[in-house]
Amino acid sequence: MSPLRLRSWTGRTGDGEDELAETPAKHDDAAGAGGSLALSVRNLRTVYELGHATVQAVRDVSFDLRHTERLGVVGESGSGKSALALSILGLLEPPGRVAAGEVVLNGRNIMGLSERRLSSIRGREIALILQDPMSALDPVKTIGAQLQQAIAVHNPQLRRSALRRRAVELLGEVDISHAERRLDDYPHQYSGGMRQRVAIAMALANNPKVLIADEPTTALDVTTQAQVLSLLDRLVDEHRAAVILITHNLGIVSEFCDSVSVMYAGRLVESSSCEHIFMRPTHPYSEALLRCVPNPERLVEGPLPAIPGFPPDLSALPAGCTFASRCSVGRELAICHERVPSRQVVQGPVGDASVECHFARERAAGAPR
Amino acid sequence: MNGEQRMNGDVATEGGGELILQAEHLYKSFAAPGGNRLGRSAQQAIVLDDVSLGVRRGETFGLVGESGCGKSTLARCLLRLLEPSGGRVLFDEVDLATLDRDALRAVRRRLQFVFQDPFASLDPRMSARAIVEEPLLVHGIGDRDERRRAAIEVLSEVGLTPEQAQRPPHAFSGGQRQRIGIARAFVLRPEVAILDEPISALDVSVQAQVLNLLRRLQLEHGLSYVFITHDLAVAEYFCDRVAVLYLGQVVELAERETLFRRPLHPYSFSLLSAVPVPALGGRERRVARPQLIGEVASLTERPAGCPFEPRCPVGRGREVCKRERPPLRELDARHWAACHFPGEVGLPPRAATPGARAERAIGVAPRPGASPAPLADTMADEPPNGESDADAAPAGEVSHQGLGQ
Amino acid sequence: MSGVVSRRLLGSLGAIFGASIIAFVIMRVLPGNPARLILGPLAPRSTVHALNAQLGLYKPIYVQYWRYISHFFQGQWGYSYSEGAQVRTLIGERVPATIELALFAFLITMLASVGLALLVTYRRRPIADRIVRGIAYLGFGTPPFFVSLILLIVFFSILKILPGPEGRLGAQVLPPPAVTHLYTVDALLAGEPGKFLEALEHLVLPGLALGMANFAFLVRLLRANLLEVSREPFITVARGKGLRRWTAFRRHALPNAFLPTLTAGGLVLGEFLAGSVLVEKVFNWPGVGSLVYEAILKQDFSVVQTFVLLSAVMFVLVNLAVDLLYAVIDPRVRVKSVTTA
Repeated sequence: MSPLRLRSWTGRTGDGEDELAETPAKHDDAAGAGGSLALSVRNLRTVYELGHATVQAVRDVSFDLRHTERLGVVGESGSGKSALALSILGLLEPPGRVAAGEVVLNGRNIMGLSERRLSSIRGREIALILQDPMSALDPVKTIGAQLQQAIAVHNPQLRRSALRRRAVELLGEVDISHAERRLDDYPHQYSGGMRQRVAIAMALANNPKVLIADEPTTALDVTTQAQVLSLLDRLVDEHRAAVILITHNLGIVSEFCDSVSVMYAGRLVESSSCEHIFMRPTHPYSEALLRCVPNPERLVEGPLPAIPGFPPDLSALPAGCTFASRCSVGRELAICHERVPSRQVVQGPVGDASVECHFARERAAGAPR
Repeated sequence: MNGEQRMNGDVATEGGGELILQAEHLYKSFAAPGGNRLGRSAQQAIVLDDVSLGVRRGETFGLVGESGCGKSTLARCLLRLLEPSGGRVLFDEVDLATLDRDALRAVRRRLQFVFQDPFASLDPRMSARAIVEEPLLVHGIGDRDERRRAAIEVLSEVGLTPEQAQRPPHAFSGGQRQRIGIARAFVLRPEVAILDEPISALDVSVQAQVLNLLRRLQLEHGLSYVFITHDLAVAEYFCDRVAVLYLGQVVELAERETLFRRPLHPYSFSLLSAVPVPALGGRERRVARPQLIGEVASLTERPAGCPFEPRCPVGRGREVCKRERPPLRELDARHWAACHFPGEVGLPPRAATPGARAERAIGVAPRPGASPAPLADTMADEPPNGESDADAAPAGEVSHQGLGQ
Repeated sequence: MSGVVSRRLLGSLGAIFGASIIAFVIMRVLPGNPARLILGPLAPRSTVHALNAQLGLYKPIYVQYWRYISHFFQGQWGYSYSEGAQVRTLIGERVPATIELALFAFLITMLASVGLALLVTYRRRPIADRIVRGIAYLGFGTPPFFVSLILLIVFFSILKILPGPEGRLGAQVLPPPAVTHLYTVDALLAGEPGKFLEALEHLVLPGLALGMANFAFLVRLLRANLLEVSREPFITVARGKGLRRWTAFRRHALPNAFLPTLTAGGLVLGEFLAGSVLVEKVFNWPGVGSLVYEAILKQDFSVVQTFVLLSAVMFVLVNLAVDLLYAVIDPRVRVKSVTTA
């Protein structure tokens, strides 16, 4: 058990939180029963201590990632999805910190390892792609230097010429033509799409088995997004990597992922296969999220079914279900405002889903609404 | 293709007397910064290239395209926030260039702009009410109490209470700030509002609220909108007519239903099929989608012929596409496109009956076999078709059957 | 690239021209007749007239300006009646002292601001941060001559660990054999560590006094830049590749934070080299500054005029060098790409 767990969270927050903390984190063991997990996150808590307030970005999150599985983590900004990514990689900067939890990567708990040990894992076993291709590359270093750095840091024995050869190869792999010549360019000479290809090349340089991509296509134009997504799909297949794709766009989840977790106010409120979420979104938030964006496949006339209100303040969470005040089901129900829903595994039309809602069972069985 | 076919300029008058805002042969170029290392004189970046269009009273006109297509520049030229390099803008049949300062001010009252970024466009030191009052003050409308009342009224129309009206912008969430931005534009009771990506900076769950608000205000006040967006799904939901822009040119313009069901230009087609749909079958859709080659060309090095030719799944390498820039023509009733081979790329996978759409709604299992047929010619690395007969290939002949139906 | 260079060069010439105009006009506008000052109150009017004519003061103003500026660039800086020597000789004698002080002050300013900025940004150190910001705040608001006096009182009068205002060396110490005319360097070249330390001791207080205000300026700038850059995603990406935190910081945050500071550093060095009249005066530093101080008191125009223009040229040259260096280091300036929205 990680030493970080000694710092108990219980007791520092409101009543609802205590209850939540005591709720044992049941997890869908069916997913883990396959034996070999690429990544397993257990009871992860991440907080940002801002002097006047403590923001609970990730609240007791657990999930598993099988080898070569592609998991989509869907949420709005401020739902804690980026904090989740950084916590897994141990890249949180103060005032953020992991308050508790385990991250088991290839069977080994990496939470609480020294920076030295962690840095030998990052990039080699687990890699990261960030959203903004503008700022994800150092503007004063050449593309080649940054690619070679990614290779060299885990292969110190390689000579310069070998590094360069490998960098050219990598650029070619991500479909950048004239790789040899373009290696000496600076990031500002690349277009947004090309920069994101470079970011992908850097992430895959050491053949990691887990890739965390935080909104990898959000800043791109839609046709470029399609190109980059296809590229990522091909490379992830070739490298046999498992992926956590963080996004706010359920369309991208549909195109890329096998399974999906919907994140709201620091919790994974619904986790299931992709088929389940599009067939029968069980948590009212998942359903509302699907309905409130214009969907070309089912155009509505008249007003969109918008979600009223806005996400709760993560430093002052309400008692009960955090979605209750915006929820079409529980807005007026006492139980939703008073009791935190526990995680339950329910049977949908296409397999299981684990959902945190008082009405999960009914909603999974019958037609929603 | 007969002699009576309507061409580019005519699109500005489509709709006759009910037009409120027209652009005729608009050009806009900027001096590209820097030039090259030999210190040669600065190049011209052509951002708008012969753009004509007309916005009807009471409609929502969508301007759609990717970054660098010129949609924001066009919007600013329509408002005369930017001076066009050529062509003219007519508001209610009056050429904006002929107006003196006072007359232009009077027009600006009827023609308002809503910015993309609700954070940057609001003065942090003013209260929401003061921000909304300011346009009234600038235009010298009403006395102090009237202005105050008007501001409070508009703010309540966009869903903010008089108590909230006293707060500064930083006390509001992104969605609420955009509501303030909308209230500021609408307090003058304009006839046309130009909305520049009004929801793209907002959170997903808040976007729908703002779209609904805009729709409601339009119905209540009979407004016309020019709606700029890069999000095709939003355009399809929100707009009545849509113009697709590519490298500063209108490549296609049609009614919403027509455009989205049967796009004629390969770029519109690619753009439509690139939108990820939050529904089952996403992987198949992605595999089936025709991929564009490369990225948008630089504005200073535009191709001589069709601007889309180097990336086009239909025309790449074809002689006529390389040589000649296709004019915007009316190919079907009120369906304009600028393409030598319109319609050849095939129909988008979902373009069946409107009923088929409903079947894909949440909770309804997809119709068996409804998954989209794979499209031929996905991202052909070699030029499609033989080069020799490319010129002769008639537009109707489906050499790249797009739809496997 | 050539465009950048030529634009910078033009700008520099403009700045020098402006400074020369100001120096010229000020000396013409100030009360007092140069010839009368030179000849004394008892000289007959005709002699004063004759000298004025000899000095060219009856010629049209543009002719006078042209004479001034062309003579300046030919190295004919005139004669200092108060010192009884050519201005060129006088300044030549005093320049090494000013340069040595300027370089030393620049060195400690840079080291201190970089070190402290790093200290408070690499890890969160709220208390250290507050202290550094406090020092910076004080340094920013305190005039250098006042800092000089405080330093003298503390380190010389009370603590008695550093020498007082006695110039570059103690009274009994002979300068080392002149090679560079910088005493510290010459002492090392001559293999005289005692003299080196002696020279160094004398540099410390005036160096600190001179550097204080600019240290405040630089440390604030660097701290802000480092904080900003260290939050950039590319730092996270670099660590995601497997770089350790410090390595990522050193290779990516530092260069990016330094670039904007480079210009500021150039300004600081230029300012130091241009000489500080008051600090030199307080420490009896035999540099250009104290020469000018005396010249001003004695209304010795030729010295002051030369000094003003010389400072301007020095300042402009250093900044031109920095701009060019910037263009070499920063690829975004070096390779101008055409980007249009």
